Amino acid sequence: MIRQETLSIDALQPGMRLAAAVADANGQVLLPVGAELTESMLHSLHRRGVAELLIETEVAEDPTVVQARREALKTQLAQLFRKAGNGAETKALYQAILEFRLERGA
Amino acid sequence: MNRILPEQVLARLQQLPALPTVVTELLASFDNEDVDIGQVVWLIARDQTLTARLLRVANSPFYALQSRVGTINEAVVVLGFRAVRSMVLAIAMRQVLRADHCAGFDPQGYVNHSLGVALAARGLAQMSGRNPELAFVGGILHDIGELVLASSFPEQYAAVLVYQARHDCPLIVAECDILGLDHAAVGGLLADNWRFPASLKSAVAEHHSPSAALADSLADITHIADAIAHGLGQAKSNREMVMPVDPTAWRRLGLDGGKVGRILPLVTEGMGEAGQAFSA
Repeated sequence: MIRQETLSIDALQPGMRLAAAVADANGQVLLPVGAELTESMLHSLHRRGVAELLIETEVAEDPTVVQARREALKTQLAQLFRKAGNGAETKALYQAILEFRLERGA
Repeated sequence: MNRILPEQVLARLQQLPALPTVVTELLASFDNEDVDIGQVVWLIARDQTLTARLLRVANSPFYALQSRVGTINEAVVVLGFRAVRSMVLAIAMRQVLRADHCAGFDPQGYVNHSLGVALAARGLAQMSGRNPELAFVGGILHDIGELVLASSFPEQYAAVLVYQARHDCPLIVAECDILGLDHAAVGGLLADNWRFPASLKSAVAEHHSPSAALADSLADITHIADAIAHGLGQAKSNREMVMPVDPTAWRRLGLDGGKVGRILPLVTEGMGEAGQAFSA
């Protein structure tokens, strides 16, 4: 599951992924959302005096928690899709929504 | 007796307050690329309520502007005429059709769902090389027939909602059983009456029957966007349901699970940002 957390500049590591774009005081985007941090980016952020950044982290979870959430989500979706029938397209939509919501943890 | 005839709908539509001039001009501008933008800006600026709401939407996080816009002119320069046009239409339609007196009708759920469909439709349009702003407006307006019924025939429509809850059936089925016509048909009458361009009429009148519509209309996009928004539970109502996805619409848009998966975050993220602004 993907989570977002704010980390101070000293806790950042190359390879981490930005959860929000970094902009300067004029609103000019320096790094886009989703950018993967590199050593040189970290240096440059340091130089610009950036104190902290919002980072996306992949969190490994307890399998029983994951399973319980999956079941709860399936119950919710079964309610929404109760009259949607068994067409291949409807099933593809269902599957896309299930995976999206599991990944977002919402 | 709850039956409603198309002639009765038309009679009520004639009694609605006239659309603000700016809205009729904007509707006409969909068919006319030589529209005088200065004239439209002037018309919007004369309507204070519209201007205030428009600037609030324009300055909401949804558009992520780097500086605040303070005038309609600036909004057009920064966001583009097309984006401003969709905003004005969305805001103005709701000023004219007010459904506050229909028992069981949930105006907030209506707005949330419409916005969810608009966001999904915009993503689908981008993906299939169509006009995203037009698709967005189509999504905002697609269920406007419901608003006409709830505002002009509140008692009859309340009976529809009771029937739907009791039978747990799709809304269009309840509407046909109780009224003898559904919100897509009513939306079509409104679209004619207000001279919507053909593309927007198809979004309103054919989103439940896209395979009978032209492939390049907005019916396919609006139909799929409708299913996506319901699948994400955007109306947040326990009556909400996904109806079967039309295979023709799905195929004509060249969709698969992966493509739909890329639309979903556009909807959920846009809702948070745009929701407050558009429901104002």
